[in-house]
Amino acid sequence: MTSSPVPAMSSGVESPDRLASVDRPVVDWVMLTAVFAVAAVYVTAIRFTPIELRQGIVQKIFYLHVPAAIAAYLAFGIMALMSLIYLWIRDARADRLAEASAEVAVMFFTVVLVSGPIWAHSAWNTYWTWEPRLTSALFVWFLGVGYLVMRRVIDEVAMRARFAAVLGVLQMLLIVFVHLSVYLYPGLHPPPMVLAPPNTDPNADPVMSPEMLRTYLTSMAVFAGFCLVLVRARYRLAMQRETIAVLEERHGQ
Amino acid sequence: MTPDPGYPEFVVGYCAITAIYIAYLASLVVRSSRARQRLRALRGGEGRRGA
Repeated sequence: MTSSPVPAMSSGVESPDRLASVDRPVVDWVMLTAVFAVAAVYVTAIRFTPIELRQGIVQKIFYLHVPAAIAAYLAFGIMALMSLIYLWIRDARADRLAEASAEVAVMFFTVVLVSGPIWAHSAWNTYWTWEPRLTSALFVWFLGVGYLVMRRVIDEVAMRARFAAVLGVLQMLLIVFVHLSVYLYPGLHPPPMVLAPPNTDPNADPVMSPEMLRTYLTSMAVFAGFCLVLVRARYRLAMQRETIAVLEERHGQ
Repeated sequence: MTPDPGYPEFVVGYCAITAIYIAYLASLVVRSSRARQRLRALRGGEGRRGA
């Protein structure tokens, strides 16, 4: 990586076509479809999925908790990939997409860190325990918030993008650790069921009933889509802000 | 019929998750709305200068 000037940060935001394209609301038919799909997942999980025998109805938090974690992984993954691309070709669009993904990832991780303890209070009889999965997940959340705060406090565009990109790549390494922590340091948190090594025992009991599995997989797909829609909306907001900055600079404000 | 002991956590959990999603969506809408207003104001200024 070189520390040369960054010509790619000027990405044509001042063009008339671009000005017209950024003036669109974030709530469009794509967003409405995603919100409708999320609402359908709620209804399916609450009304049409059987109650788990041992934990009871509180287990239904699972259908929102785990997909939120997967959505956070997805958003962090986009952030890391775009950070790498930015460090490689210094394209402002990659930096913008990394910023958008990071904010969405932190939001989904907030959902995970709020819903997990509420579920744990019933399942483990405690809201929080400093076991490896929970502790590392909390660290990732703090790192994500730190990433967003850092972006706000650095005014110089190229420097902000470069620092954020480095942090974004490093953060992904911690995400991998969070996912593997249940195998490396087994604690109270159960290992994943979908992103897990295959069970080679042919006599093993199924993890979930078909109805539960259907709701779970549907929820995963819907929340992954919802995540991408939110990243798209947040990217649009980043474009609007960048265009405002360019116009204000031109007007000398 | 025995009441489900996890029912309060179930309700609180779903409400909390929903509140976070609604708050984030609302923040996106508000921030974007403000940005679009500012954009229109700046473009209006550009239009007057052009004229």
